[in-house]
Amino acid sequence: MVLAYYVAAYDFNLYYGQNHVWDRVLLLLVAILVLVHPAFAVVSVGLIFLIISQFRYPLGPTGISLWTDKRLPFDLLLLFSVFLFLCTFRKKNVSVFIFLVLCTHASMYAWPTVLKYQLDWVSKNDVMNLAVSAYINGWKLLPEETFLKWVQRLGWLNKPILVSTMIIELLPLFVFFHRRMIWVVFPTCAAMHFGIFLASGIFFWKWILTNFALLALCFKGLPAQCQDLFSRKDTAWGCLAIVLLTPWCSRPMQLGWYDCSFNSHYDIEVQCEGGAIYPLERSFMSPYDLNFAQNKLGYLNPDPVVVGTLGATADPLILSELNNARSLDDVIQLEQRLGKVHHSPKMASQFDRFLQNYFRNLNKMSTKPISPFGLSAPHHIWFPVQENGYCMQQSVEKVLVYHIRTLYQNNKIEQLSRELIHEVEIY
Amino acid sequence: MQEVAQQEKPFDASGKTEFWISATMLLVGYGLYHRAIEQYLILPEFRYSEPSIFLAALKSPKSALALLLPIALVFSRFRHLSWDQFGESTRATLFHLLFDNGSRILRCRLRF
Repeated sequence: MVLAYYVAAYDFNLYYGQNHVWDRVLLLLVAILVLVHPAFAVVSVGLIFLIISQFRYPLGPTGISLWTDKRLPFDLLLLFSVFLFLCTFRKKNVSVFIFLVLCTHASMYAWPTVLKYQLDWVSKNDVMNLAVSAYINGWKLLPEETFLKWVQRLGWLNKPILVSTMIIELLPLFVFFHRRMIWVVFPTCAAMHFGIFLASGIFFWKWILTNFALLALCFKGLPAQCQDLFSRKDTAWGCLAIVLLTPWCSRPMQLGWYDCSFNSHYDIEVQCEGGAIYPLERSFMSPYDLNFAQNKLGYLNPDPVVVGTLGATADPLILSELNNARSLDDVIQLEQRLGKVHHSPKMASQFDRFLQNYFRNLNKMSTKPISPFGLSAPHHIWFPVQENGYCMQQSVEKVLVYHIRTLYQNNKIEQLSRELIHEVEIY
Repeated sequence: MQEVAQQEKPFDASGKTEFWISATMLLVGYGLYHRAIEQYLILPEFRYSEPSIFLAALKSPKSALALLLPIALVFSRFRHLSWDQFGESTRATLFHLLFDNGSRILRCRLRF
């Protein structure tokens, strides 16, 4: 139901110029029919996958990163569909399904911890840099001075946050060791996502709802034959073994990186008729907002870069060198030495084609069209609305992309550079 | 519920073996289905410009097969599957979560 709502309520696709209303209606109808009969879950898997896959083009993301925010509920739905296939020729064993649901949940949380362990994340990372990067990128809930004061005050929480994150991500592995663990696992996972949301604006709302749904299921909805699952030793150890086998069944997400004090991001402005220029909010580009919120526009940048989305890197050498960087020259030298060039003329031309289609269709309209049902699903990455942002004041004639380097040091945010790197004419 | 009770063995040695065989099959099936839809249910870009993605998917034999074969398989045993086999409480929880809580929230909103 969560996925059906999310997929059916995306904003009008201005790139294709299509609303795909009948697909949305069909999906909602199928989602309602799931309540009547479980077989409709199989129909919804195909529809959800087909509809979401439209956002692979033309800019990506492809593969796992397109699915990060919806992977947990989608994989559980997929598992349920396969369970129904098996039910067609084998004896029904609901406890097996519930067991694998909880194993899948455990693997989604445990595998990111493996990468964090490999990165020596607890001793090297500074999670306060994530909050600062999110602030620089637009997650501004407080005035800058107040925000930086709080970052400094809460600095001592860095290690406890890192350790508790690792523990919370590992907890689902032990859900079968005692039935009471369900009261610890699902609420703490949901609480961790709330914490991530407050710090960075990254809102795993689909994962939060799935955690609460699993809690409700384990607490109230488990059939009698599933009660044994929590009192058997073989399921407890079997869960650990299955999580280890996950890479052979489905590609587990390995979310782990260092948060750097240096930030390299891209801001977009639009030039309208008459020459007025407005900043373009990342969420304005919905339903492609994820591309812009994650700021993966490196293919437009001819220079080497050392950090990715929200100042993240997985290279410990870059992290340690950035910790010593004090000026623009230091950063540029570092970029030349250790940076990677992501520039791609092919992707840049696809970006141009995307913006031209998007704004050409938008310029024909008086207001930005949203979901046909009027209730857009919440974004995965949130940015508050800017007062002076573009909101259909005039037709867009040109889009300007700026590359910005920012350094957080001595409890101050310093903009090191701001260069125009790309322009797209809308015709 | 009676049907479930008849079908599920207690967790003696043979019940455990049956459990792990089913778990392995489900896990392998999950992996295969995951790969199959990733490979065959992604349409070429121009297909998404059509008014209906669902109908566009049916135009390619591979994506049509990936979409319809699992549906046909499950619907061929439509009568043998029902929410009841998951236990009455599962269905009750599902409805409770969606409708009871929903109507409670709605009533609170209306009061304001």
